[in-house]
Amino acid sequence: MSKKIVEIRHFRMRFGEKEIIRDLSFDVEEREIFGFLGGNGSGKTTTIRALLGMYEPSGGELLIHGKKFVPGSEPVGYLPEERGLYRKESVIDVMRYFGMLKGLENPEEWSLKFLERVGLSDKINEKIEQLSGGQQQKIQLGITIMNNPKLLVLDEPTKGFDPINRKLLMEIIDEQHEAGATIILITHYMDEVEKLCDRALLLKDGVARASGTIAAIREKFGGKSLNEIFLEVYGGENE
Amino acid sequence: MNSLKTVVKFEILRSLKKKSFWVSALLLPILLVGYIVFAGAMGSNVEGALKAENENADAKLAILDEAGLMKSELTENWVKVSEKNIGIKDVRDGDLDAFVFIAQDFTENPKIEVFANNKSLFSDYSAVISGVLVGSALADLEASEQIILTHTYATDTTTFVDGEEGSLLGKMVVPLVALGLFYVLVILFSNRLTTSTIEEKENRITEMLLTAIPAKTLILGKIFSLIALGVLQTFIIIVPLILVYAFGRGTAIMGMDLGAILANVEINPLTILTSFVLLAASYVLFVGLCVLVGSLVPTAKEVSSYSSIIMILTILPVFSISSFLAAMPDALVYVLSYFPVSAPVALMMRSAFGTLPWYELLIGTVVIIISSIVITRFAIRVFQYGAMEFTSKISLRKMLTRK
Repeated sequence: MSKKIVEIRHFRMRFGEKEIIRDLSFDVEEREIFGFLGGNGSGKTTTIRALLGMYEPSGGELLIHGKKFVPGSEPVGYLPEERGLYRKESVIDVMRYFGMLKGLENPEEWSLKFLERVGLSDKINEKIEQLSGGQQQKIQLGITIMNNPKLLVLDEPTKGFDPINRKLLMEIIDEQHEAGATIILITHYMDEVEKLCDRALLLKDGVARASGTIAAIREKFGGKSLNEIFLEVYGGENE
Repeated sequence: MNSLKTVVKFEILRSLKKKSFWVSALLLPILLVGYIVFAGAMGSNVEGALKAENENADAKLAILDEAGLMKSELTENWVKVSEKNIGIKDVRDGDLDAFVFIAQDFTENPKIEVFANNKSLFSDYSAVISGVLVGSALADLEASEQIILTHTYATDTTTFVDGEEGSLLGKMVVPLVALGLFYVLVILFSNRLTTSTIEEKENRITEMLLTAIPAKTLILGKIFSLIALGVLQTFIIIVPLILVYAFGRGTAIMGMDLGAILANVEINPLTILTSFVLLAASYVLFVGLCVLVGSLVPTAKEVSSYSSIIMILTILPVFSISSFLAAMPDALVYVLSYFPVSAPVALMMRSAFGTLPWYELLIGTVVIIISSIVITRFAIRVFQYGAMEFTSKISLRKMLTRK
């Protein structure tokens, strides 16, 4: 029987009068790639932030390895959708800083290897603000995976990448998975989900509209592709 | 603890690597010192005017003129003292404001001794005494005595503060340095403090950081680093001042005899300790206030209006300087001395002007220390609560009523 890495039970989240999540429950099992899907504003990011202890849930419980997550207590990597870095600092300084915070013994050595891998070894001493958006995203991905996280949460990881870099990124995600990471993948690219994910959950208006293995979801919707299912659930209302 | 150290180190090093830090850290003190020297050289007339203003006719003056130099009409309202020691004792006891002693051998040893109570900044009565002497000299003295009196006599002035020998101006120096340091820290660091607090939120770095460290560690690291940078800035100013004090005697700057100024500086360990405890507590309070403002709002643009309010409240006592210069503080002085945000400058000014009794200094310092702890703890709480609030201002009501 697979071990549950993430357990979300009857999660509710309310901001003032607005209820964002209504009684959401799901598990993510060890070493699986889990697709967490939904339209803009459906509550995906809110759920992840609550899981990672950044929001206090209005109800229910969100656990990682059976416990409420405490920052720094275990290797978790989170690549948020809204991205940013210390713009005035050099690439190596920023990577070294995050590496030290994540407990790496030699963050500089790791960073240099990663930068070489993603073709940015000539940018080591450049300021972050001098890099292109795609280059900055690569740095952020490096920071996310630098401590070999057991749980990797990737929110729109390929957004803004050209096809070559998208392929590179997919390879890196694949390597992390091979190395034993459990991955929660948030994306609007349904082809990525069909290709990568073992299971998925489709969120709308704070409740799960479909969940299970990709095959089970497709079967439930009469063999339609995930793209078609997404359109059917959202009825073309999503941007 | 390691994460905290990492944050502190990162925040300090990134500031030290910036040219702008060193430009402001070095330039502002140089400009301030330059201005003080310039103003000192240009301001002798102002000082004279202030002296004349302060040495009013109500002053209780006494004289023992063994040489018979003074014209009696000019000192008719002065108390005549029979013995030098009695005159000195009466000044020390506060029964007289000033006592002038002219020895019998004045023509051989042209020296006039003045003993004065240093009640306010410019009350050594030298202007009054000089006027009387010159008036006497020009009246009916012999020509040789006129020349001696108007051109060659020396004045040996001994001043008393609260019955103890000392100069108010000399006592002012240490508290005034602390006040100047606080002023420099407020000017240089207010913007740095608020933008540093808001940086991660504005640049959307918070989420990546908060999977590695708790929000409390992040903000504590920032607070400690800003305190360390404040200490560094203090050293940048203090070290040259200590060097000037140690080696500056016998030097003249723009006509001012530095040696004479430095000779009056009173280096009292207790004054140094209390002044710097007050400075340290005041800076921590200011850091707490700026971090609170930075934690409340989502962008650097919105910070400026709130930080201006803090700046104005902090330097509010400067706008009421006349009340602070008076020997007897009025109600406004007391209000500003105990209102936490204005208390640092108010207490430092009163300490410098010699109108702050030790018990008020103690109470005021305790008020600032307690306020700095409360405000900094509250700022940390607001930062933790609002770390993920990227678009709107934090609602304190919501935060305080949260379970």
